[in-house]
Parts: sequence; structure tokens; C-alpha cells
Amino acid sequence: MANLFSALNMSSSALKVHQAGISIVSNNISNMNTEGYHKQKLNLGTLTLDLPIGNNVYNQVKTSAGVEAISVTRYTTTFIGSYYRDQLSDQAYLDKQKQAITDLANMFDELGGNGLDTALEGFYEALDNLNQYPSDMSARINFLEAAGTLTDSMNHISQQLNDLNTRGVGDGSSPELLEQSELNTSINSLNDYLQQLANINKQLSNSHTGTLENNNLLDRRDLVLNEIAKLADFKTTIHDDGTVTLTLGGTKIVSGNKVLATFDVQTAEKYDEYCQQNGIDNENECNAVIRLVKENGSVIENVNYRFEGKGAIGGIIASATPGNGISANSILENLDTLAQTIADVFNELQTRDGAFYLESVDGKVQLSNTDLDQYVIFTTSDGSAEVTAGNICINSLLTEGDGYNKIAAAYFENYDPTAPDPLANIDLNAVGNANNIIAMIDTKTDNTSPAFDGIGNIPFSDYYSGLLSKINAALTSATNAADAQDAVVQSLDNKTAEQTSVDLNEELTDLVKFQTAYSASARVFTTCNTLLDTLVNLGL
Amino acid sequence: MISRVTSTTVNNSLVGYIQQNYADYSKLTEQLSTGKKINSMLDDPIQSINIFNSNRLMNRIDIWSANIGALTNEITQSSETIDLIHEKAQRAKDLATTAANGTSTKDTLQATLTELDQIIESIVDLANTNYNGNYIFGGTNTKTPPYEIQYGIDETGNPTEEIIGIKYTGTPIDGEWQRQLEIADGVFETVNVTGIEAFGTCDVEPVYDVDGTTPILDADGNPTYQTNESSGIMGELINLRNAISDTIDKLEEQENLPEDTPQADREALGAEIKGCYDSINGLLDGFSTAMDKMVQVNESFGAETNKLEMSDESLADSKLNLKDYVSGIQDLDITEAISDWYSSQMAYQASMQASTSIMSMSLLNYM
Repeated sequence: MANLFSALNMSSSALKVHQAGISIVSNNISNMNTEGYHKQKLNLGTLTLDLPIGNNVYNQVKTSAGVEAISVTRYTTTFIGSYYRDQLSDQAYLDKQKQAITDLANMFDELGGNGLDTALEGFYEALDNLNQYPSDMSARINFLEAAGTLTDSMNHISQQLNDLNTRGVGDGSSPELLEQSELNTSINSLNDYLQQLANINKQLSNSHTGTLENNNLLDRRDLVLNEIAKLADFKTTIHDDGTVTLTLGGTKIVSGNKVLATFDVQTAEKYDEYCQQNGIDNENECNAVIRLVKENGSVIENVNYRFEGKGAIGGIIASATPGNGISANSILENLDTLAQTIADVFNELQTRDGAFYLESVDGKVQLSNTDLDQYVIFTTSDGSAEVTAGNICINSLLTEGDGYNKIAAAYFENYDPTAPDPLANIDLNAVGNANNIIAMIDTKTDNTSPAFDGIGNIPFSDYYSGLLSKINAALTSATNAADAQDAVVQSLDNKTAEQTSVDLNEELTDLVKFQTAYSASARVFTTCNTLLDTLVNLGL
Repeated sequence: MISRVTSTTVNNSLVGYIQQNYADYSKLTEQLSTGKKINSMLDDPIQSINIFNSNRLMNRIDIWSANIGALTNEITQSSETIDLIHEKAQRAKDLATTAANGTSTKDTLQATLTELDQIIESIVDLANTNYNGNYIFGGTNTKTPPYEIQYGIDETGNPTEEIIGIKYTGTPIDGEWQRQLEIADGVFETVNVTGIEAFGTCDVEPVYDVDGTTPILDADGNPTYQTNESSGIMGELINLRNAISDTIDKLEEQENLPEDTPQADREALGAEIKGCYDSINGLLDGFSTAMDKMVQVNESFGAETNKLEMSDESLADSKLNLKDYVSGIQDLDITEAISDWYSSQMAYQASMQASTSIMSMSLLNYM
């Protein structure tokens, strides 16, 4: 009799197990499009009873108690997770650099012909026109306009480059700009992920391996680890229970259910203050400095170098640090040098001994060099002595009223300021003398003057072309590197997906499998039931 | 276990292929609609630098060509003006030749003098030619007329209408007189020639007493003049005018000689008159030299014009070459592009069609 009941029990356990199997299939199908979901599988095992068996066949049959669900396995990759995360980190780093350099390249896309080079060529064209009509008011005004366009476009580009830099890491002094910067956003989300990881760690340590709950937590843990890897490269240690310890250069950041240290950012100015107060050599060149604040309150003031070369945060810092290849910062430095050189070269010619501007005397125009020194062409809008692309502007003395006359077009080689009467040999009526303008035009090819030292004694246009070439070369190499890394990550993604993602056909097959087994078990149950009925009716 | 191919991987790669095909298709569409392979520096960072440099050079060539045009125009204008002055000077020289043969009467000489004055005035007008806002023979002194006719004074210092000099007020020959235009990188060509080089000057001033207003008179009671500088055709014209005027004075003196003048004095006066004719004759060589100078200047202009023409041609050639070069890099081979475009369109459509039919297949259809 016992056998009949055990068969009944077996089929009921089979019904339960296969129902669970269908639930797993259902879970897989539901999550087939969930990011980071790893396909799960119900592991079945035979249920045996521990009975003395001996040679008795009936006893042998009795020990088989049917089927049981042993565990739920999560499909995992044979790829080491840390390798994948390392590649993700590289990808995020290269991608940030590519993005930064693409922004730059877009700004310097001169093929459209509305950038700095057009302004520089326009300036020389206006000089050429002025050379033809040195005493003509419209030629002079036209020249000042062209010079104004040149300074405006330098200011504009400088502003854009600064914005680009500020967008990344702030301007180094304003807390508000730092607050809005990309770096701050990234650091904030890094802290969020760290907290999430600690929470997951806590739940993981409370759940049993091989359970649905545990598997789902592992999925979430991997997702969070991937997100963290995209931001920065931590040393990740995964323990047997699935919990993770994150370390950054020997400092534990997350361990168990606790975040042991968080990050925040401070402006370069603030860091400098700190350095001065503590007598530390400040070698920081980035506008923002990342701090590590430990749970116990101790602080590491500068951990920028820990992010070097990896992750989006590393990418942001690299793009905003001078001396790091081509970046908004280094291009701005180059443009500042260009602006300084332009100002030096033309101001020197404009105010040199022997140069003369126009002056209206009793309604008649003639030459003069009185107070020539104050009529420089280029000056700074903020009054500082150093000319930068951001502050270069036209001397207002030349733009106000008849200031256009103050452009020193004429130049006399035989002018000797030390002679008793320096003007003796000078024909002050020679308003058609444009020798100084010719010297200015000649700066296109003659770059021997010491004023040209700043840009290496090459023409402005060559310097600018060189800059464009550098940007374009950097763009090419950044694009290539990022694309190659994309391909690496893509192939890793594919392999992971191959091994862990849900396949609909597979699930449907499983579904049919479980359904059939379920139906069959039900049939066994009915059969047993009928047998029991028969038995019961026997007694009647 | 054989490697799994799952719905997710299939979907991912299908989306990847479709995107790639669409990117190719839209890239080709953009190229076809602009006719250019390279539309922004991002399209081809290396080649676009070459395009950029070539475009800059082409713009400069445009400026140089325009400058060569301006140079040629002004040189032609100067050269034509010198030709006209040369013609007038030739007429003055003819007058001198006629006057020098010693047969002219006082009245003829008077008429000659009047004509000579007219010639001087028109030559000065021509030398004061203003082209494009500039007095072309004034050197860099472009805004004031370079020549000014100087008039004599009478015994009391009041101005008369007698021409005594033609003064050059432009930039001196040893000053900074050149006006130059750029015709190639760092190459400047001179536009102008100064009046003093081509026509010379004749700066004559009345001599005044120390008070600066009372003229010092000579033995005959005429005001005296001092010649500061005399050269070129301008000098010769004034010399000729003075010589003719002297001759007229002598002839008048001869006409007005009293009846009782001794024969010796008459002969002496006759010799003086002959001397006057001789001095007119003696001026002819100077005239030739001064006129040769103008011809020389014009010849140098001719040489410069030829040189400019050659430069212009070579600039046009360089521009053409640059254009070819840029279009080689940048322009699209339309035939090739259109066939690529069609095939990329086919590929795009095919990938979409294949994707939908693969994605719609699953066991579900058979359950």
C-alpha cells in the first residue's frame, strides 16, 4: 500500500517542482530584456529517502521519493569580471578624451571658413588695402575693423575654450562652477554607486547562495561594479558570499555593508590654500582637486593621481590638465602665446623709431610722431601687461574719433631720434609713405624679429596651421584608440551575452519540457487516484 | 557545449548592422548632396589640413592678382602721361630749333614765347595727374600736387605773370618715395616714379633784401632771381623760356636803338643777339638728354609691365594647380559615389528586411 501512496507523493512533488521550473522560465522570459540579467536555471535532483534497503526490491522502490529542486543556478561568464571591468574603465577614459578632442576639433573646424584663420587673413588683406591707400580714411577704418574682428574671434575662441574647460572641472576658483562641472556630477554618481554597492553587500551577506534572491542581487552587484568601473578603476575583491571589497591605493573604500570613504571635489584655489597652510609643494595643475574623506573623519586632500589614465573621471581630469597632450587647456596656452606675439609684433612696428602717423594740421593732413608710444594697436581689455587670447583688444585711442589717423603707416629708415633735429630729413607731407604697412605685411614671411620668438620664429598662419594639425592628429589618434577600445568592449559584451543572456527558443523549449512533465505527473496522480479508488471500492 | 546564440545577441548584432548600414547610407547621401568627400575637418583630419592650407594660399593669390592689376593700371597711366609730356616737350624742342636759326623776328619769338608758356602749363598739369586719389608723380607725397609754377615779380615786389620756375614739391629722389604693392609672399613691386626723376625741377626764387620784401634790382632795374635747383625737362623748359625772353629783349633793344648809335655798339649788340641764338641752339642737346630720360623711365615701366604680366600668369597657373589639388582631395567622384549610394541603399534595405524576418521567428509561431 505504501508504494501507492509514495507514487502519489512523488507525483505531487514533481508537480511542485515543475511548477517552479515554469516559474523560472517565466522569470527568464520576463527579464530577457533586463540589462545585466543572467539567465537562471532550475537544477533538479532525485529525492531519495534514507531507509534500510537490503535486497528487498520494494524497499528499493520506496527510497525513490521523486524529484526535488536543488538550486537555481545563475549562468555566468567564463570571462573574468575584473578583466571586463578593466576594459570598461579604459573605454570610458578613452571615450571622454575623444569627446573632449571632438569638441575642440569642432570648434576649430576651419573648412567652413569662419574661424581665427579667416580673421587673420582678413587682417592681412586689410593691411594690403591700407598699403594701397595709406592716407585714406576708409582704408584705415577698414583695417581697424579687421583688427577688431581678429581680436573678437580670439576672445570668442578663448571664451569657448574656457567654457569647455569649466564644463569639465570648473574654473579653479568658483565653487558654483565646480558644482555644475562634469567632474562633480561624476563624483556624485560615484558616491551613489558606492552606497548602492554597500547596500547590495549587506543584502548579499543575508541571503543564501543559489537562491533566486541571491542571483538577482549578483546581477545588480555586477551592474553597479560596471558603472563604478566606467567612472574609476578600483581594486575589486569578490568574496565567496558574493560581497565585494573596493580598494583605492590601499585605502578601503567599500567593505561589507559600509562605505568607508567618500569622494568630494574642491577648487584648485582651495587646495592651494591648504598646501600653503601645511607647507606642501603644490604641483597640482588641474582646476579641480578630488578629496577622499574617510568615515573616521580623516581626509586625503588630493587623490587626482589615483584616477590617472582610467575611467571617465580620469578622462575628465586628463582633458583638463595642461601638459597632457592636446586639450582645451593646452590649445588655450598656444592661443595666448599667439595673441601675445601678434600684439608684440605689430605694436613694435607701430611704435618704432621712424614710424609716423597722420595728423590733421589746419585742415591739411601730414605726418607726425608725437607721443607715438601710446598709440599701440593691440592692448588688453583688463589692463594687465600680459596679452592673452581672452583679453586682447584694440587700443581705444585708435577707435575713438579720428583715432584711425594714429595708425603709423609711414616709416623712414633715415630717421635718427638722437640727431639735433630728427625731423630735418623727414618729408612730413609724404602721407603716401606706407613703408611701415609694408613691414607689417612682411611679417607674413619675415619672422626674424625677436618678437616672433614666442611662436618659434614662424609666420602666424604656419603656427595656426600647426595648431590645427596637432588637434587633427590628436583627434585621429583619440578616435582610433576609442574605436579600438569600443570594439574590445563590444566583443566582450557579445561573449558575455552569448553565455548569459536569455534565448527565447531555449526558454520555450524548457517551458514545453516542464509543461509536459507537469501534465505527465498529473496523469500519474490521476492514475494513482484511480487505483486508490479501485482499492477503496474493493472493500464495499 | 556549443556556443549559445541567444535572442539577445542576435538582436544586438542586427541592430548593429542596421545602424552601420544606415550610417554608410547617410554619409554617402551627405557627400552626394554637397558634391564633396570632405565637408568638415572631422571627415578627414589629415587631408583637410592640406585643403585648408591650399585655400588660404588661393585667397592670397587673389589679393596678389588684384595688386598686379592695380600696379599695371597705375603704371599704364603713368606711362601714358609721360608719353604726353614727351610729345609736348618735343613741340617745345621744335620751337627751340626754329627759334635758334636766327631768322625769327621779335614778333615770331613773342608768339613762340606765348606757345611755350602754354606748353609749360599743360606739362605741369600733366605732371600733376591725379590717379585713384594720388598724385602719381609726387612720390609718397600723394595728396599735394607735385609741381607748382613759380611766377616773377616786378620792381616793387608785386607778382607778375611771368613764368620763372617750375618747382617740384614731391618726395625727393633720395627720400622714401616708393609706393609698393605685394605681388607674392614678401615680394613688393614699386608702383611709381617720382616727378623729379622723370621731369626734374626748376626751383627759382626772387632775391630779396634782408627785409625779405624789397626785391634787389640789377643794373637795368629788373628784379633778380636765384636758381636753387634746375634739372630735367622742367629745367630745360625754363632755360628755353629765359633764352627766348632774353633774345626778345635784345631784339627790342636793337629796334629801339637811337639813330646815332655808333657802328661799333650796333655790331656789339648784333653779336649779343647772335650769342642769344647760339645759346638757344645750345639748349637743344640738353632737351634731347632730358627727353631721353623720359623715354628711359617709360622703358623701365614697359619692362616692369612685362614682368608683372609674367607674374600674373604664373599666379594664375599656381591657382589652377591648387584648385586641381584641392578638388582631387575634396571633390567626389560622382559616378562612383552614386553606384556606392545605390548599393548602400540596397544593403540598408536588405539588412532591415533580414532583421524583421529573423526577429519574427521563434518557437512561439509553432506553439
